[in-house]
Amino acid sequence: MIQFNRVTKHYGTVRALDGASFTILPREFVSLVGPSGAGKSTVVRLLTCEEYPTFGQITIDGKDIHLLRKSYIPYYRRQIGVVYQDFKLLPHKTVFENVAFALEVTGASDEVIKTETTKILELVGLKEKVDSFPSELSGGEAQRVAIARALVLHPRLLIADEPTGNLDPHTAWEIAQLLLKINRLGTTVILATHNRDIVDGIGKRVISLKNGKLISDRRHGKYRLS
Amino acid sequence: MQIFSRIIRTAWHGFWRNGWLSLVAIFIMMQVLLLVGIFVSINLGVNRTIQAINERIDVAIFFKDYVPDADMLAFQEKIKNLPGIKDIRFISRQQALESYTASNQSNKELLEAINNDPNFFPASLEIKITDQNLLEAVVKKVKEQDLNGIIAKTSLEKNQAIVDKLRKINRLLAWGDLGVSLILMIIALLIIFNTIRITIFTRREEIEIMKLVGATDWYIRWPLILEGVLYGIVGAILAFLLTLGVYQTASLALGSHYWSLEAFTGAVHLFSYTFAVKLFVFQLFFGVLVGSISSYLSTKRYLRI
Repeated sequence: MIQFNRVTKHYGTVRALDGASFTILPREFVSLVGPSGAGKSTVVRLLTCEEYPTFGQITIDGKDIHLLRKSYIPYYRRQIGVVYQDFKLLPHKTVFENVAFALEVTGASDEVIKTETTKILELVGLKEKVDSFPSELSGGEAQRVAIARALVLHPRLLIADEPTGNLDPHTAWEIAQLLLKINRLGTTVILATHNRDIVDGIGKRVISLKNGKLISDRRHGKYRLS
Repeated sequence: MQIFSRIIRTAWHGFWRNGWLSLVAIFIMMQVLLLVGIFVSINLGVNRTIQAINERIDVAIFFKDYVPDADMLAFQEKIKNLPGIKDIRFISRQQALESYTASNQSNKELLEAINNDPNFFPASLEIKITDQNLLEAVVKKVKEQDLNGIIAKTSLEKNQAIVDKLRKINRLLAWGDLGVSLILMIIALLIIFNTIRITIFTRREEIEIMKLVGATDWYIRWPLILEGVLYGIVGAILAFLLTLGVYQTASLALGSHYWSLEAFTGAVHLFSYTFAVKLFVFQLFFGVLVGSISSYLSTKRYLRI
């Protein structure tokens, strides 16, 4: 269970997040919506411990994640999968190596890496592209690799920050379907997006942010900003 | 063990897949190490020159006319073990005459005036000392041993001005050498550091991604440090081969008698196998050390997230 408890984040004089409180239950699928600058990316960066809140706490299963020791952060990050708008793939590694990297850092054996990576690349439908480099992939394919990398460690939480931002509507919808499938397999998914069609199509819980404030939280919501 | 092989593999991939970047880094590393190599060689030459000058600084002790050779030899025995004395040679009147005649063959009038008179030149003890700065102290100690007052004079009295001048030249050479060494080493350090900083800078996003995927700092850092080491090794090998080439050319050109300035040809002759190996080890050590430390320092700031 993830809890945001009156979380405020200031960047200088800018209030990126302003006293936001909400709870996300295990296995939930939550769309985090709002226009650019609403605070969606701040929520993501707080969850990955790239940023620390100015006020308030974020707890996962009761533990304040920003009280973790610095040396423990890599191990914490292995428990959550993150997918970004710009994919963030390692340019000099192949598709296989990119996904395998997440396993390598944990010290998994070569055999485990081979079977797990192959399995997950099959799940996202990229079995044929294992030896390609990121520059040789389409946007949709690159995002699938990123999702595979995020999933290969079987995280309980998958965070997707504008994963469809650089994709055409058809591909974007495919990625949304993939996220839903992952959620059905038991992973909590947080999808930060401003793509109205995607959110409306998914039809799950929607948390709306505007100017850093939480303005609505609906169980089967649509994208709305009023 | 597994993590070890993974780090090496990652470094190897990084080295080859960033081909152009590696090539540029190696090229710059090679240039800098070449500079260092040439400089170390010149250093050797300067040291040889200083040594040669020091060897010229010696002192001769002349005895009063009535002193027989036997007493002089006895005195030589007596002072031979004084600290600071490297070597003593007894030059008899006859030997002094012969060596003077030999070196002044062209000056017939002078030789005629001397007329092969064995008493024209005095006998002397030529003393070589271990450290030219001890010259005055050694002469003083030698004089203290002269209980019977058989010493007439020493060459130091006549040569003090020249000795001082030679010392000044030596000091100047040594300090100049040190100053230029320091400046060049600092330049070499900065050039390598900056080059590696640029290679790491272009890969800052990779570092960030690795951090976000959950890699520990050292898991990210080691391959990059190893890449720095690789630049150092390959750069050193290339620089060494080039230094060798430069030296061969130089010794061919300078080997002719026209250029046989003793110190310089001495330095070229000193370029033996041992020196070559020493030079290579130095270049390798310098390249690897500076390469790895630069990688370490450059990586640091991008690991903060």
